[in-house]
Amino acid sequence: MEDRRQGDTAIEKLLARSLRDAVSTDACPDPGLVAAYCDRSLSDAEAAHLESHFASCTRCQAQLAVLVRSESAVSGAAAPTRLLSWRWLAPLAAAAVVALAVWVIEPGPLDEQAPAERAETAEAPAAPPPTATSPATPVEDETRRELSTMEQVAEMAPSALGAAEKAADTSIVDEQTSPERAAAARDQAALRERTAVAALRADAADTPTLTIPTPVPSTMWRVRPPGAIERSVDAGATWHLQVPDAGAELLAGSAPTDTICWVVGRAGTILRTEDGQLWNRIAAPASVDLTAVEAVDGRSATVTAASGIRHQTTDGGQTWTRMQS
Amino acid sequence: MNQKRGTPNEKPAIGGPDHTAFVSRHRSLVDRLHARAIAARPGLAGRVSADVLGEALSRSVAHRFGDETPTPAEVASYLESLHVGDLALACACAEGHEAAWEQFITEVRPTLYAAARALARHDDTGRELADSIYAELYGLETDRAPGGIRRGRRSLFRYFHGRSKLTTWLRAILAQRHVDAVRAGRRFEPLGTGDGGGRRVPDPSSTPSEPDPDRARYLSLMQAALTAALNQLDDRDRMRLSCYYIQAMTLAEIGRLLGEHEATVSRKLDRIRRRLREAVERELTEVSRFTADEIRLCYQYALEDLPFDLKEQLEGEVQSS
Repeated sequence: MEDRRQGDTAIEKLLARSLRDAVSTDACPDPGLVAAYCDRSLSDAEAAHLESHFASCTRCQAQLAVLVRSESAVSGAAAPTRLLSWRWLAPLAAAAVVALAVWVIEPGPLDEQAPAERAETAEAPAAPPPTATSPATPVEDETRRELSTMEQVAEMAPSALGAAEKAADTSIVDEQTSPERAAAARDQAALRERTAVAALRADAADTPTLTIPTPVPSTMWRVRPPGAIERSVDAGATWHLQVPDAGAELLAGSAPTDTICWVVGRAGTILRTEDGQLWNRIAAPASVDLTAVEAVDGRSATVTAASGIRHQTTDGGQTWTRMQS
Repeated sequence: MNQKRGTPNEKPAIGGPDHTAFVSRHRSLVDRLHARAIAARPGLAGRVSADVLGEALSRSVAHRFGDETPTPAEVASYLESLHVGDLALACACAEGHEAAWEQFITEVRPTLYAAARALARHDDTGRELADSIYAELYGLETDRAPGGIRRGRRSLFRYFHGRSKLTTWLRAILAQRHVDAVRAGRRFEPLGTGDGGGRRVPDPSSTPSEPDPDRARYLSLMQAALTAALNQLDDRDRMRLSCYYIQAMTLAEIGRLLGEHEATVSRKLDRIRRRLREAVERELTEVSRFTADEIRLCYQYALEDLPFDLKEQLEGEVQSS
């Protein structure tokens, strides 16, 4: 629980930096559209289109914040005398009766529950709103895909685990005579288990693997679907799992040396290793499907999106420059 | 759908054959909307003709659909959604009718000045902001000269297309100019917390942990993992986060913006934060192969790097709301 709290706090502190770095490439909407959005006069499609810009534009976000705050300030500037008129109240009362009738007949989605009910249902998964037109969020899709993969592995893994346990049994016997050999046997068992699990996952998928050669013939990488990365140093005789799951389908790779490799994939996925062992994720120029990469070294590479647009970095992905087509 | 992006500096189309043809094509609809506008603002009767309003409606359709060719049903549906009473008032003011200006001064001007006072620190600054917009609404004297088409600035009312209330549109212009002035002047407005507004420098003497050569790398990996997780969120979730952490909006303000209850905003923010943390930990575990201890170290470095405690602020806000 303490770790979770610490994690939440750390995430919050990094959020401001990450959000502030977001940049929208679209031109900002004019005040007429921004005002219509605030008045909820736009169609769902128009509002969604604007929100995709607002999500990344700190200028528009600041304007929206000012607008919302000024609304409460000006509500007192409206003609107050009308509020005292019973005639003004009549349509409001009628609307309240209609709203009550609608609520009784069709309870709203989980999101509209009053705060008093929130405590009871706080842990329940939120039902999708009845008027939603968009499909499940990318995060929900990813979670469901992950669960599906994990369930598959859980079903298949017992045979792999059985092999590991067998090896472990051997290691226990060995431990009574040689601790070093027992530790080595446990490491080998763990490696076999990881490799077996990855192989089971790959067997479950029908798409072919992607091999990434290096200038050294005996060393190469390969991408196993849906998003695993393995490395071989004996010309493919054996493979070592380095990344079990990148969280997205990987589509292309480039290895300028036997220790440097860049891999790209869907939704702006870019991974890189500079020592042949440890991988890290590089922030992409945009969250689009990347279908090709050409790497020069650990800091310089060019990525190509599915649209054909190319971006280049010379500082390890800290900044990207769009290239002329 | 062609979203025509523009600023108040866009040049409006001048009335001509296109607008006349539009009014002829949609005569009955224009007449019905004109009647509705006069019913909403009886003081404009006899001051705004159906043709003048029709020209404004034609400009609004052109602004909305751009180069698209909407069907008659789409045009009708769009026009029915407009605030025609306010559009008629804007037309009459742009034409210079005194009665229309009296209505504007009585009903709309107080809102403009109240909004300007609310966002400016001093009453004088607020009045200046409102005065500048008021002057542009009035336009240049030559705009009302008879005969011919004069170059030069036209009334700001020409840029109002009726998609919102007139008061909201004016507040949006105020907001845009205020934000642009702040950004241009590089003044620090308390628009956000975190390491933005009121930037603080971490006290080196308060760093408890031993120097770690991998500190920068750990923080960089964690930041990259968080950025990747943020890119997976949908637009409304990212808006919620930005409004809360960058713009320092309250839960109630975010709720008013997105049309949600304050409690809903709070619950969704909690859910988003939890998912982000889980995504970051998954990334660090599966891609960077970090152990649990290394992840804990990442968090520790992040907490030391940025001494603000947003959680404290959040808890304080929830208690007071």
